[in-house]
Amino acid sequence: MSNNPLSISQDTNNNDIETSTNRTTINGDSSYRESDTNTINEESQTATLGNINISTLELSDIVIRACSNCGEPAQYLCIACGQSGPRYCSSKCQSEDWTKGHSITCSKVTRASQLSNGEGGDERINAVRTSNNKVYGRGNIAQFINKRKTYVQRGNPTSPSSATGPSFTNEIPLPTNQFDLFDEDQVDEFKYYMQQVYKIIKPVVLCILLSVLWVKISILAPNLQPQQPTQQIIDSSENAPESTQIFNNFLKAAFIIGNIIVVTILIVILFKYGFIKILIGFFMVVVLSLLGFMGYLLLMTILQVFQIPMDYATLSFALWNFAAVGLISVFWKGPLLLQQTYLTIMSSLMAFSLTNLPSLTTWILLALLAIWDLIAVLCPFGPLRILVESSRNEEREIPALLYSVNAVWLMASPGLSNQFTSSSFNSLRQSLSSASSFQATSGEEIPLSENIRYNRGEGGEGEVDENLSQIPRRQSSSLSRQQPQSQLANDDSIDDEEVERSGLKLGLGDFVFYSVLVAQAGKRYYF
Amino acid sequence: MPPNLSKTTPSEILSLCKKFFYIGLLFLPWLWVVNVIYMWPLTKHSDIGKEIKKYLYYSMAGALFWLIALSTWYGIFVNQRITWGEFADKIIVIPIRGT
Repeated sequence: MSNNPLSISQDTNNNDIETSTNRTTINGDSSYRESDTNTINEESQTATLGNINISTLELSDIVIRACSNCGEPAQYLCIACGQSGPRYCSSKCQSEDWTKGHSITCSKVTRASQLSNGEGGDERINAVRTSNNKVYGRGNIAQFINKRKTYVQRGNPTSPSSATGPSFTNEIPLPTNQFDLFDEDQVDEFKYYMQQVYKIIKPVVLCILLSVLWVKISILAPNLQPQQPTQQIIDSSENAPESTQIFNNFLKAAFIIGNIIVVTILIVILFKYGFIKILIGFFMVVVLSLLGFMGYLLLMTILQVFQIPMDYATLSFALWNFAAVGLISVFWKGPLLLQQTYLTIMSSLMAFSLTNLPSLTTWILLALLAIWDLIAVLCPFGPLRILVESSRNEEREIPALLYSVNAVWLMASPGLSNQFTSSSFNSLRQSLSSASSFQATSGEEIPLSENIRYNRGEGGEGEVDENLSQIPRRQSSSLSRQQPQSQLANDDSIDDEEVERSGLKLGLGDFVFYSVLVAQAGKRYYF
Repeated sequence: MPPNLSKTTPSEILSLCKKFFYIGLLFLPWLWVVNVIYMWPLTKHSDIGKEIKKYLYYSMAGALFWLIALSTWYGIFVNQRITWGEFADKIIVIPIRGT
């Protein structure tokens, strides 16, 4: 599995340091061509590709070296080798020459191991490869993008392979098409997240459809209504004024919310004092009873609607199989697909049980839940906030019911944009260091980028907070159905296997929340 | 958390396969079916493939036995419940309304 993190670096040449370093290099060696490009670029930052080319052509007094691959006039050079290295006319030629043999002679190969040792493999700067990987043409950004798509994790500092694999600085032909690179990378990010979202949408939609189906079936069976008692309350209050009805509904919803709050606080206390086993046992009971009892109610409805003769022996046998295998696959081991299916079914069952309440109660309940979520997450003593904080402090994972997509990366890392800008920032540094003579600056370069990363980490805290408010929101909505789940907010404590398997994760609470909304609507209206 | 089976060692896979089989003895043929589907791809490229296959065959046989037994029972029940009279009414979950 080639799970090396690899980040595309985007060079932006509107950096003063970069250009100035370049100029100092030029002064030492005036026969260097793209240094002039840089100077020009500094003068007119809006210079387009065409402009640069024209202006470089005018500077005919500078010696134009031939491309090492094809012999055409060259205006790029290998970043790592610098002045002493080969020249290229295009990134294509560079790629070809790299596979032809420059990969062995390139001076970067020798420095790369030093760099990775010193830095612990900062993959935001360096494109990391293991030595047995196929050598890719360098400088070809399309190759980088394609390659990165196959990676299961990116930009995650905990990657084990980044420490072992020799790291390469990403070599990009200076400096003309840097803005294009930026855009392409952005597009790549978007594509990646779109894929993730698509993967998560599928089960959510399935869950919603299932709960609508359950509701539709249960409408067909008027005789067997699990909500008989609640309906009686409604019936008795029919003569009462409307305000009393609303008050009654409100009371019922408040009662449910009260239960939810109690359970949430109980879970937080259990977690805080380390009774993880009790907690997991509690979840198991919840899952088992959910699958068993709600499955039983649903099956009864289906049996009644479709007039299926069924004996108790077969029914209990089937239910026992269904619930036990669900328990095993969710909490212990099982195929991922099975686990996902069970989680989806469980959520739809939960939503189904909630729609059995009278609709007004459900609406009030949903509104109250949203308010409770806000309170639990945002207040300084909100239980969910405490839960997340204590899990972060003690580096323990909250036992949870999560639907995981099994793809890439963790949603709860400090924000896409943060990561994104920091990687572009670092690559900017990298272009700085590589444009000038590499070795001279590398000593300075690494601490610099470390600094940046550190600052980014601090600056990202605001975003982490934002994430916080989102993540526990999911938690709370699932807690509310007594299926707490979480997203581990700091990915430092996640071990390799989990990092590899974790993709987008969504709490079951969200599944239930959306499903209840739609199913409640489906109960009233025909569509 | 289901593990990535390509990551686990062969001995772990074998013990998992055994556990699935033994848990399946608790009237859980569905678990046996899962076991077979889950483990079957691993029998090819593993040096303990034969061991695993043994348990998978057991699982398959057990699941098949339960399938036959259950379907036989259900077939008998559906067809004969009218003649059984009161006994059938006792074991039926929801009485079927006559049309």
